[in-house]
Amino acid sequence: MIAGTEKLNEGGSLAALEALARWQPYLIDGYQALSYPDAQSAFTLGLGAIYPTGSWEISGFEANSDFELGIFPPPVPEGADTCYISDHTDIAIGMNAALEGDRRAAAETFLSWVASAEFAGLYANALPGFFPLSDAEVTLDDPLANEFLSWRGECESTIRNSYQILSRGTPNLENELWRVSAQILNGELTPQAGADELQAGLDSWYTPAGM
Amino acid sequence: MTRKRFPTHIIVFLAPAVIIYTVFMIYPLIDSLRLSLYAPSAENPQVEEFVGFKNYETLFTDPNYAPRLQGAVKNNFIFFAVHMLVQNPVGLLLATLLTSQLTRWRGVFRTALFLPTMLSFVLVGFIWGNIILSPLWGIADDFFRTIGLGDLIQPWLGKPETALITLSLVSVWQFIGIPMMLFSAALIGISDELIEAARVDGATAWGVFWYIKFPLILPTVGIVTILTFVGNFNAFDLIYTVQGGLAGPNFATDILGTFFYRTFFGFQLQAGNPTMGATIAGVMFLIILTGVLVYLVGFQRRLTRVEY
Repeated sequence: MIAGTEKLNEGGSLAALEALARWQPYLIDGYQALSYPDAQSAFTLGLGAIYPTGSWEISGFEANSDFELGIFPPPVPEGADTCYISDHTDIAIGMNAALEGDRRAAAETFLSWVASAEFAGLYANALPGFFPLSDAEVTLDDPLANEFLSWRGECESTIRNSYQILSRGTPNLENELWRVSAQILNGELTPQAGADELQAGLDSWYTPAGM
Repeated sequence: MTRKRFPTHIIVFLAPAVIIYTVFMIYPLIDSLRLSLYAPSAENPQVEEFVGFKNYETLFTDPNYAPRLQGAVKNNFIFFAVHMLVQNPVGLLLATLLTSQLTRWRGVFRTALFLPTMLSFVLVGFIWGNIILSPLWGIADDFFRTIGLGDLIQPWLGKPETALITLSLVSVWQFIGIPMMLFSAALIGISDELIEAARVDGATAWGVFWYIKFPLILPTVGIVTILTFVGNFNAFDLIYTVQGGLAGPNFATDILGTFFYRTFFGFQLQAGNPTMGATIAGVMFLIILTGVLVYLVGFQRRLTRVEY
Protein backbone atom coordinates (compact mmCIF):
# COMPACT_ATOMS: atom_id res chain seq x y z
CA MET A 1 0.00 0.00 0.00
CA ILE A 2 2.87 2.33 0.78
CA ALA A 3 4.36 1.49 -2.63
CA GLY A 4 0.97 1.94 -4.30
CA THR A 5 0.71 -1.65 -5.54
CA GLU A 6 -2.13 -2.56 -3.14
CA LYS A 7 -5.38 -0.61 -2.77
CA LEU A 8 -7.78 -0.23 0.14
CA ASN A 9 -10.75 -0.87 -2.15
CA GLU A 10 -9.69 -4.19 -3.65
CA GLY A 11 -8.23 -7.56 -2.64
CA GLY A 12 -7.58 -8.31 1.01
CA SER A 13 -8.47 -4.86 2.36
CA LEU A 14 -11.89 -4.98 0.73
CA ALA A 15 -12.42 -8.58 1.88
CA ALA A 16 -11.73 -7.47 5.47
CA LEU A 17 -14.50 -4.84 5.27
CA GLU A 18 -16.85 -7.39 3.69
CA ALA A 19 -16.18 -9.77 6.57
CA LEU A 20 -16.85 -6.91 9.02
CA ALA A 21 -20.22 -6.20 7.37
CA ARG A 22 -21.25 -9.84 7.93
CA TRP A 23 -20.89 -9.36 11.71
CA GLN A 24 -23.77 -6.92 11.92
CA PRO A 25 -26.55 -9.49 12.65
CA TYR A 26 -24.52 -10.86 15.55
CA LEU A 27 -23.92 -7.56 17.34
CA ILE A 28 -25.57 -6.73 20.66
CA ASP A 29 -28.79 -4.66 20.75
CA GLY A 30 -28.12 -0.94 20.53
CA TYR A 31 -24.51 -1.53 19.49
CA GLN A 32 -24.58 1.75 17.55
CA ALA A 33 -24.41 3.72 20.80
CA LEU A 34 -22.08 1.48 22.82
CA SER A 35 -18.66 2.74 23.81
CA TYR A 36 -15.51 0.64 24.04
CA PRO A 37 -15.83 0.17 27.84
CA ASP A 38 -19.54 -0.67 27.38
CA ALA A 39 -18.60 -3.43 24.95
CA GLN A 40 -15.95 -4.80 27.32
CA SER A 41 -18.44 -4.87 30.18
CA ALA A 42 -21.11 -6.48 28.01
CA PHE A 43 -18.72 -9.30 27.22
CA THR A 44 -17.49 -9.89 30.77
CA LEU A 45 -21.13 -9.86 31.95
CA GLY A 46 -21.73 -12.78 29.62
CA LEU A 47 -23.88 -10.92 27.09
CA GLY A 48 -21.68 -11.99 24.18
CA ALA A 49 -20.10 -15.20 23.00
CA ILE A 50 -17.22 -13.82 20.93
CA TYR A 51 -15.31 -10.58 21.39
CA PRO A 52 -12.94 -9.70 18.56
CA THR A 53 -9.95 -8.00 20.14
CA GLY A 54 -6.28 -8.29 20.94
CA SER A 55 -4.17 -9.79 23.67
CA TRP A 56 -4.08 -6.50 25.60
CA GLU A 57 -7.55 -7.35 26.90
CA ILE A 58 -6.33 -10.37 28.90
CA SER A 59 -5.88 -8.68 32.32
CA GLY A 60 -9.21 -6.86 32.24
CA PHE A 61 -11.22 -9.81 30.97
CA GLU A 62 -9.65 -12.28 33.40
CA ALA A 63 -10.27 -9.94 36.32
CA ASN A 64 -13.88 -9.13 35.47
CA SER A 65 -15.40 -12.28 34.00
CA ASP A 66 -16.60 -15.23 36.05
CA PHE A 67 -16.40 -17.70 33.18
CA GLU A 68 -13.46 -19.40 31.53
CA LEU A 69 -11.97 -17.61 28.54
CA GLY A 70 -10.63 -19.20 25.39
CA ILE A 71 -9.09 -17.66 22.31
CA PHE A 72 -8.75 -18.37 18.61
CA PRO A 73 -6.77 -16.58 15.94
CA PRO A 74 -8.50 -14.65 13.12
CA PRO A 75 -10.17 -17.30 10.90
CA VAL A 76 -8.76 -17.74 7.40
CA PRO A 77 -10.83 -17.70 4.21
CA GLU A 78 -11.98 -21.06 2.86
CA GLY A 79 -9.17 -22.87 1.10
CA ALA A 80 -6.44 -20.79 2.70
CA ASP A 81 -4.29 -22.23 5.45
CA THR A 82 -1.91 -19.44 6.43
CA CYS A 83 -3.07 -17.45 9.43
CA TYR A 84 -1.97 -13.88 10.07
CA ILE A 85 -1.59 -11.95 13.30
CA SER A 86 -0.70 -8.33 13.91
CA ASP A 87 2.06 -8.53 16.49
CA HIS A 88 3.53 -5.15 17.41
CA THR A 89 5.02 -4.66 14.00
CA ASP A 90 5.38 -0.97 14.64
CA ILE A 91 7.18 -0.61 17.95
CA ALA A 92 10.88 -0.11 18.62
CA ILE A 93 13.15 1.33 21.26
CA GLY A 94 16.43 3.00 20.44
CA MET A 95 19.21 5.34 21.43
CA ASN A 96 20.30 8.72 20.10
CA ALA A 97 23.29 7.96 17.84
CA ALA A 98 24.96 11.21 18.91
CA LEU A 99 25.27 10.13 22.55
CA GLU A 100 28.87 10.01 23.82
CA GLY A 101 30.92 8.93 26.83
CA ASP A 102 29.29 7.84 30.08
CA ARG A 103 25.79 8.56 28.88
CA ARG A 104 26.30 6.37 25.82
CA ALA A 105 27.60 3.56 28.02
CA ALA A 106 24.64 3.95 30.39
CA ALA A 107 22.16 3.92 27.50
CA GLU A 108 23.81 0.82 26.03
CA THR A 109 23.67 -0.94 29.40
CA PHE A 110 19.98 -0.12 29.69
CA LEU A 111 19.20 -1.21 26.11
CA SER A 112 21.12 -4.49 26.52
CA TRP A 113 19.08 -5.22 29.61
CA VAL A 114 15.81 -4.34 27.83
CA ALA A 115 16.82 -6.73 25.04
CA SER A 116 17.74 -9.52 27.48
CA ALA A 117 15.82 -12.68 28.29
CA GLU A 118 15.51 -11.49 31.90
CA PHE A 119 13.63 -8.34 30.93
CA ALA A 120 11.49 -10.25 28.42
CA GLY A 121 10.32 -12.63 31.16
CA LEU A 122 9.67 -9.85 33.71
CA TYR A 123 7.81 -7.68 31.21
CA ALA A 124 5.61 -10.36 29.67
CA ASN A 125 4.59 -11.77 33.06
CA ALA A 126 3.93 -8.38 34.64
CA LEU A 127 1.69 -7.35 31.74
CA PRO A 128 -0.09 -10.45 30.41
CA GLY A 129 -1.01 -9.83 26.79
CA PHE A 130 1.90 -7.50 26.12
CA PHE A 131 4.83 -9.35 24.67
CA PRO A 132 8.55 -8.65 24.51
CA LEU A 133 10.00 -7.80 21.13
CA SER A 134 13.17 -9.81 21.71
CA ASP A 135 13.77 -13.31 20.34
CA ALA A 136 14.44 -14.68 23.82
CA GLU A 137 12.44 -17.72 24.87
CA VAL A 138 10.13 -16.74 27.71
CA THR A 139 7.84 -18.80 29.90
CA LEU A 140 4.56 -17.09 30.70
CA ASP A 141 2.49 -17.87 33.76
CA ASP A 142 -0.73 -16.80 32.07
CA PRO A 143 -2.06 -19.61 29.84
CA LEU A 144 -3.99 -17.25 27.56
CA ALA A 145 -0.94 -15.04 27.05
CA ASN A 146 1.08 -18.17 26.33
CA GLU A 147 -1.40 -19.28 23.68
CA PHE A 148 -1.33 -15.86 22.06
CA LEU A 149 2.45 -16.01 22.08
CA SER A 150 2.47 -19.47 20.49
CA TRP A 151 0.78 -18.02 17.37
CA ARG A 152 4.03 -16.27 16.64
CA GLY A 153 5.30 -19.67 15.58
CA GLU A 154 2.21 -20.68 13.57
CA CYS A 155 1.08 -17.49 11.87
CA GLU A 156 2.61 -14.93 9.58
CA SER A 157 2.89 -11.33 10.73
CA THR A 158 0.60 -8.72 9.23
CA ILE A 159 0.46 -4.95 9.38
CA ARG A 160 -1.58 -2.17 10.89
CA ASN A 161 -2.17 -0.28 7.69
CA SER A 162 -3.35 2.98 9.24
CA TYR A 163 -0.39 3.50 11.53
CA GLN A 164 2.71 5.51 10.67
CA ILE A 165 3.11 6.57 7.07
CA LEU A 166 -0.46 6.20 5.80
CA SER A 167 -1.84 8.38 8.60
CA ARG A 168 0.35 11.40 7.99
CA GLY A 169 -2.14 13.43 5.99
CA THR A 170 -5.67 14.76 5.79
CA PRO A 171 -8.00 12.93 5.91
CA ASN A 172 -6.31 10.75 8.46
CA LEU A 173 -6.58 7.05 7.51
CA GLU A 174 -6.99 5.82 11.09
CA ASN A 175 -9.87 8.23 11.78
CA GLU A 176 -11.39 7.38 8.38
CA LEU A 177 -11.24 3.66 9.22
CA TRP A 178 -13.14 4.34 12.45
CA ARG A 179 -15.77 6.40 10.66
CA VAL A 180 -16.21 4.10 7.65
CA SER A 181 -16.23 0.83 9.58
CA ALA A 182 -18.91 2.23 11.93
CA GLN A 183 -21.01 3.16 8.91
CA ILE A 184 -20.54 -0.28 7.39
CA LEU A 185 -21.67 -1.88 10.67
CA ASN A 186 -24.63 0.54 10.76
CA GLY A 187 -25.59 -0.61 7.27
CA GLU A 188 -25.23 2.89 5.85
CA LEU A 189 -22.35 2.08 3.51
CA THR A 190 -21.67 -1.09 1.56
CA PRO A 191 -18.17 -2.50 2.08
CA GLN A 192 -17.28 -1.49 -1.48
CA ALA A 193 -18.57 2.08 -1.07
CA GLY A 194 -16.75 2.38 2.26
CA ALA A 195 -13.53 1.03 0.80
CA ASP A 196 -13.81 3.44 -2.13
CA GLU A 197 -14.15 6.34 0.32
CA LEU A 198 -11.06 5.18 2.18
CA GLN A 199 -8.98 4.88 -0.98
CA ALA A 200 -10.21 8.24 -2.31
CA GLY A 201 -9.27 9.87 0.99
CA LEU A 202 -5.79 8.36 0.88
CA ASP A 203 -5.32 9.25 -2.81
CA SER A 204 -6.17 12.88 -2.05
CA TRP A 205 -2.88 13.42 -0.18
CA TYR A 206 -0.66 10.34 -0.49
CA THR A 207 1.40 9.73 -3.60
CA PRO A 208 3.39 6.48 -3.47
CA ALA A 209 7.09 6.99 -4.07
CA GLY A 210 8.07 6.57 -7.74
CA MET A 211 4.54 7.11 -9.06
CA MET B 1 -9.47 80.93 30.64
CA THR B 2 -8.57 78.03 32.88
CA ARG B 3 -7.45 74.90 31.14
CA LYS B 4 -9.12 71.74 32.44
CA ARG B 5 -6.72 69.40 34.19
CA PHE B 6 -5.98 66.21 32.28
CA PRO B 7 -8.18 63.52 33.88
CA THR B 8 -5.36 61.21 34.99
CA HIS B 9 -7.61 59.38 37.42
CA ILE B 10 -9.73 58.02 34.55
CA ILE B 11 -6.70 56.33 33.06
CA VAL B 12 -5.74 54.93 36.45
CA PHE B 13 -9.20 53.53 37.03
CA LEU B 14 -9.45 52.04 33.56
CA ALA B 15 -5.95 50.59 33.52
CA PRO B 16 -6.52 47.28 35.39
CA ALA B 17 -9.44 46.25 33.18
CA VAL B 18 -7.83 47.47 29.97
CA ILE B 19 -4.51 45.76 30.70
CA ILE B 20 -6.00 42.43 31.79
CA TYR B 21 -8.50 42.40 28.92
CA THR B 22 -5.82 43.26 26.39
CA VAL B 23 -3.31 40.71 27.60
CA PHE B 24 -5.72 37.82 28.07
CA MET B 25 -8.43 38.50 25.47
CA ILE B 26 -7.58 40.97 22.73
CA TYR B 27 -3.97 39.95 22.15
CA PRO B 28 -4.66 36.17 21.98
CA LEU B 29 -7.60 36.82 19.65
CA ILE B 30 -5.54 38.92 17.27
CA ASP B 31 -2.63 36.50 17.48
CA SER B 32 -4.96 33.60 16.64
CA LEU B 33 -6.25 35.53 13.61
CA ARG B 34 -2.62 36.21 12.63
CA LEU B 35 -1.78 32.51 12.93
CA SER B 36 -4.60 31.68 10.49
CA LEU B 37 -2.68 33.60 7.81
CA TYR B 38 0.38 31.36 8.19
CA ALA B 39 1.16 27.77 7.19
CA PRO B 40 4.07 25.40 7.78
CA SER B 41 6.76 26.01 5.17
CA ALA B 42 7.18 23.35 2.48
CA GLU B 43 10.97 23.15 3.00
CA ASN B 44 10.95 23.15 6.79
CA PRO B 45 7.66 22.27 8.53
CA GLN B 46 9.07 23.70 11.78
CA VAL B 47 8.85 27.19 10.33
CA GLU B 48 5.58 28.95 9.63
CA GLU B 49 5.45 31.29 6.68
CA PHE B 50 2.92 33.93 5.68
CA VAL B 51 0.42 32.64 3.11
CA GLY B 52 -2.31 35.29 3.16
CA PHE B 53 -5.83 33.90 2.93
CA LYS B 54 -4.74 30.54 1.51
CA ASN B 55 -5.89 28.63 4.61
CA TYR B 56 -9.35 30.18 4.29
CA GLU B 57 -9.40 29.20 0.61
CA THR B 58 -8.51 25.62 1.61
CA LEU B 59 -11.15 25.59 4.32
CA PHE B 60 -13.88 26.76 1.95
CA THR B 61 -12.93 24.82 -1.20
CA ASP B 62 -10.78 21.77 -0.35
CA PRO B 63 -12.80 18.51 -0.55
CA ASN B 64 -11.25 17.44 2.78
CA TYR B 65 -12.26 20.59 4.64
CA ALA B 66 -15.24 22.23 2.91
CA PRO B 67 -17.77 19.40 3.59
CA ARG B 68 -16.64 19.24 7.23
CA LEU B 69 -17.03 23.02 7.60
CA GLN B 70 -20.48 23.00 5.98
CA GLY B 71 -21.51 20.04 8.12
CA ALA B 72 -20.26 21.69 11.31
CA VAL B 73 -21.98 25.02 10.53
CA LYS B 74 -25.24 23.25 9.63
CA ASN B 75 -25.13 21.10 12.78
CA ASN B 76 -24.32 24.16 14.85
CA PHE B 77 -27.39 25.98 13.52
CA ILE B 78 -29.55 22.92 14.32
CA PHE B 79 -27.99 22.88 17.81
CA PHE B 80 -28.85 26.58 18.17
CA ALA B 81 -32.37 26.13 16.75
CA VAL B 82 -33.18 23.42 19.30
CA HIS B 83 -32.03 25.72 22.11
CA MET B 84 -34.10 28.62 20.75
CA LEU B 85 -37.21 26.47 20.24
CA VAL B 86 -37.00 24.42 23.43
CA GLN B 87 -34.61 25.89 26.01
CA ASN B 88 -35.71 29.51 25.91
CA PRO B 89 -39.53 29.10 25.60
CA VAL B 90 -39.55 26.41 28.29
CA GLY B 91 -37.20 28.55 30.40
CA LEU B 92 -39.67 31.42 30.08
CA LEU B 93 -42.58 29.16 30.96
CA LEU B 94 -40.77 27.90 34.06
CA ALA B 95 -39.83 31.44 35.04
CA THR B 96 -43.46 32.52 34.71
CA LEU B 97 -44.60 29.62 36.88
CA LEU B 98 -41.85 30.28 39.43
CA THR B 99 -42.78 33.94 39.78
CA SER B 100 -46.50 33.25 39.91
CA GLN B 101 -48.07 33.73 43.33
CA LEU B 102 -49.99 30.51 42.82
CA THR B 103 -47.04 28.14 42.69
CA ARG B 104 -45.94 26.50 45.94
CA TRP B 105 -42.45 25.20 46.75
CA ARG B 106 -40.96 27.80 44.43
CA GLY B 107 -37.54 27.80 46.09
CA VAL B 108 -37.25 24.03 45.83
CA PHE B 109 -38.22 23.99 42.15
CA ARG B 110 -35.92 26.89 41.32
CA THR B 111 -32.95 25.15 42.94
CA ALA B 112 -33.75 21.77 41.38
CA LEU B 113 -34.14 23.23 37.90
CA PHE B 114 -30.95 25.25 38.20
CA LEU B 115 -28.86 22.34 39.53
CA PRO B 116 -27.85 20.81 36.14
CA THR B 117 -26.36 24.16 35.10
CA MET B 118 -23.83 23.83 37.90
CA LEU B 119 -22.79 20.30 36.93
CA SER B 120 -19.66 19.73 34.90
CA PHE B 121 -20.02 18.70 31.27
CA VAL B 122 -18.27 15.46 32.05
CA LEU B 123 -20.93 14.58 34.61
CA VAL B 124 -23.77 15.58 32.30
CA GLY B 125 -22.25 13.52 29.50
CA PHE B 126 -21.86 10.57 31.83
CA ILE B 127 -25.37 10.85 33.30
CA TRP B 128 -27.07 11.03 29.89
CA GLY B 129 -24.69 9.00 27.77
CA ASN B 130 -24.13 6.14 30.20
CA ILE B 131 -26.73 6.13 32.94
CA ILE B 132 -29.83 7.18 31.01
CA LEU B 133 -29.48 6.58 27.27
CA SER B 134 -26.94 3.74 27.04
CA PRO B 135 -28.57 0.71 25.38
CA LEU B 136 -26.64 -1.49 27.82
CA TRP B 137 -27.00 0.31 31.17
CA GLY B 138 -29.51 3.04 30.44
CA ILE B 139 -32.74 3.44 32.35
CA ALA B 140 -34.47 5.03 29.35
CA ASP B 141 -35.35 1.58 27.97
CA ASP B 142 -37.22 0.53 31.10
CA PHE B 143 -38.93 3.90 31.32
CA PHE B 144 -40.28 3.72 27.77
CA ARG B 145 -41.39 0.11 28.23
CA THR B 146 -43.20 1.00 31.47
CA ILE B 147 -45.25 3.70 29.77
CA GLY B 148 -45.98 1.38 26.86
CA LEU B 149 -43.73 3.01 24.30
CA GLY B 150 -41.19 0.18 24.08
CA ASP B 151 -41.20 0.45 20.28
CA LEU B 152 -39.59 3.88 20.56
CA ILE B 153 -36.41 2.51 22.11
CA GLN B 154 -33.44 3.23 19.92
CA PRO B 155 -29.70 3.78 20.29
CA TRP B 156 -30.38 7.52 19.98
CA LEU B 157 -26.76 8.57 20.38
CA GLY B 158 -25.54 6.02 17.83
CA LYS B 159 -27.75 6.91 14.87
CA PRO B 160 -26.91 9.80 12.58
CA GLU B 161 -30.56 10.90 12.34
CA THR B 162 -31.11 11.22 16.08
CA ALA B 163 -27.71 11.83 17.70
CA LEU B 164 -27.52 15.61 17.20
CA ILE B 165 -31.08 16.32 18.35
CA THR B 166 -30.56 14.07 21.37
CA LEU B 167 -27.37 15.88 22.38
CA SER B 168 -29.03 19.27 21.77
CA LEU B 169 -31.81 18.30 24.17
CA VAL B 170 -29.27 17.12 26.74
CA SER B 171 -27.62 20.53 26.46
CA VAL B 172 -31.03 22.17 26.85
CA TRP B 173 -31.60 20.12 30.00
CA GLN B 174 -28.29 21.29 31.36
CA PHE B 175 -28.64 24.98 30.61
CA ILE B 176 -32.34 25.66 31.03
CA GLY B 177 -31.56 27.23 34.41
CA ILE B 178 -29.86 30.24 32.81
CA PRO B 179 -32.83 31.62 30.80
CA MET B 180 -35.10 30.62 33.67
CA MET B 181 -33.12 32.72 36.15
CA LEU B 182 -32.75 35.70 33.81
CA PHE B 183 -36.46 35.66 32.94
CA SER B 184 -37.38 35.25 36.61
CA ALA B 185 -35.31 38.27 37.58
CA ALA B 186 -36.94 40.33 34.83
CA LEU B 187 -40.46 39.17 35.74
CA ILE B 188 -39.94 39.95 39.43
CA GLY B 189 -38.87 43.45 38.43
CA ILE B 190 -42.25 44.23 36.84
CA SER B 191 -44.26 46.57 39.03
CA ASP B 192 -47.33 44.96 40.60
CA GLU B 193 -49.27 48.16 39.90
CA LEU B 194 -49.15 47.48 36.16
CA ILE B 195 -50.42 43.95 36.58
CA GLU B 196 -53.12 44.99 39.05
CA ALA B 197 -54.24 47.78 36.74
CA ALA B 198 -54.49 45.32 33.86
CA ARG B 199 -56.47 42.92 36.02
CA VAL B 200 -58.87 45.70 37.01
CA ASP B 201 -59.33 46.46 33.32
CA GLY B 202 -60.37 42.85 32.83
CA ALA B 203 -57.23 41.27 31.35
CA THR B 204 -56.98 37.49 31.50
CA ALA B 205 -53.84 35.73 32.79
CA TRP B 206 -52.74 35.20 29.20
CA GLY B 207 -53.50 38.84 28.37
CA VAL B 208 -51.41 40.01 31.32
CA PHE B 209 -48.52 37.82 30.19
CA TRP B 210 -48.64 38.63 26.50
CA TYR B 211 -49.49 42.36 26.59
CA ILE B 212 -47.90 43.45 29.86
CA LYS B 213 -45.15 41.10 30.99
CA PHE B 214 -43.68 39.93 27.70
CA PRO B 215 -43.12 43.43 26.21
CA LEU B 216 -41.48 44.49 29.48
CA ILE B 217 -39.02 41.58 29.48
CA LEU B 218 -38.15 41.98 25.80
CA PRO B 219 -34.62 43.24 26.68
CA THR B 220 -34.06 39.99 28.57
CA VAL B 221 -35.34 37.97 25.60
CA GLY B 222 -32.61 39.69 23.55
CA ILE B 223 -29.92 39.00 26.15
CA VAL B 224 -30.95 35.34 26.44
CA THR B 225 -30.94 34.99 22.65
CA ILE B 226 -27.46 36.39 22.27
CA LEU B 227 -26.10 34.38 25.22
CA THR B 228 -27.58 31.23 23.68
CA PHE B 229 -26.09 32.09 20.30
CA VAL B 230 -22.59 32.74 21.64
CA GLY B 231 -22.73 29.73 23.95
CA ASN B 232 -23.94 27.36 21.22
CA PHE B 233 -21.40 28.44 18.64
CA ASN B 234 -18.61 28.02 21.18
CA ALA B 235 -19.96 24.67 22.40
CA PHE B 236 -17.64 21.69 22.41
CA ASP B 237 -17.47 19.93 25.79
CA LEU B 238 -20.71 17.96 25.76
CA ILE B 239 -20.20 16.57 22.25
CA TYR B 240 -16.61 15.68 23.05
CA THR B 241 -17.41 13.93 26.33
CA VAL B 242 -20.25 11.88 24.83
CA GLN B 243 -19.12 11.23 21.24
CA GLY B 244 -15.36 11.85 21.28
CA GLY B 245 -13.30 13.98 18.93
CA LEU B 246 -14.67 12.32 15.80
CA ALA B 247 -18.17 13.58 16.75
CA GLY B 248 -19.75 10.44 15.35
CA PRO B 249 -21.61 8.69 13.96
CA ASN B 250 -20.23 9.86 10.62
CA PHE B 251 -19.75 13.45 11.88
CA ALA B 252 -23.49 13.70 12.63
CA THR B 253 -22.75 15.60 15.85
CA ASP B 254 -19.73 17.55 14.58
CA ILE B 255 -20.10 21.23 15.46
CA LEU B 256 -17.60 24.04 14.99
CA GLY B 257 -16.03 23.44 18.40
CA THR B 258 -15.27 19.76 17.75
CA PHE B 259 -14.13 20.47 14.19
CA PHE B 260 -11.78 23.11 15.55
CA TYR B 261 -10.48 20.83 18.31
CA ARG B 262 -9.82 17.92 15.95
CA THR B 263 -8.01 20.14 13.48
CA PHE B 264 -6.01 22.27 15.92
CA PHE B 265 -4.93 19.63 18.46
CA GLY B 266 -5.30 16.51 16.33
CA PHE B 267 -7.17 13.39 17.35
CA GLN B 268 -5.95 9.80 17.66
CA LEU B 269 -3.38 9.42 14.89
CA GLN B 270 -4.37 12.66 13.18
CA ALA B 271 -1.66 15.21 13.82
CA GLY B 272 -2.63 18.68 15.00
CA ASN B 273 -2.59 21.50 12.47
CA PRO B 274 -2.45 24.78 14.44
CA THR B 275 -2.66 27.06 11.41
CA MET B 276 -5.75 25.36 9.93
CA GLY B 277 -7.20 25.19 13.44
CA ALA B 278 -6.69 28.94 13.83
CA THR B 279 -8.44 29.38 10.48
CA ILE B 280 -11.49 27.52 11.77
CA ALA B 281 -11.33 29.63 14.94
CA GLY B 282 -11.28 32.69 12.69
CA VAL B 283 -14.47 31.53 10.94
CA MET B 284 -16.11 30.84 14.31
CA PHE B 285 -15.14 34.34 15.44
CA LEU B 286 -16.65 35.86 12.29
CA ILE B 287 -19.92 33.92 12.69
CA ILE B 288 -20.26 34.93 16.34
CA LEU B 289 -19.25 38.53 15.60
CA THR B 290 -21.87 38.74 12.84
CA GLY B 291 -24.54 37.36 15.16
CA VAL B 292 -23.66 39.77 17.93
CA LEU B 293 -23.61 42.74 15.52
CA VAL B 294 -27.02 41.79 14.13
CA TYR B 295 -28.30 41.73 17.70
CA LEU B 296 -26.69 45.02 18.72
CA VAL B 297 -27.72 46.94 15.61
CA GLY B 298 -31.00 45.28 14.76
CA PHE B 299 -32.43 44.60 18.18
CA GLN B 300 -30.83 46.30 21.15
CA ARG B 301 -30.82 49.80 19.66
CA ARG B 302 -34.54 49.63 19.04
CA LEU B 303 -35.39 48.74 22.60
CA THR B 304 -37.00 51.43 24.66
CA ARG B 305 -36.49 51.49 28.38
CA VAL B 306 -39.76 51.66 30.26
CA GLU B 307 -39.74 53.77 33.39
CA TYR B 308 -42.32 53.16 36.03
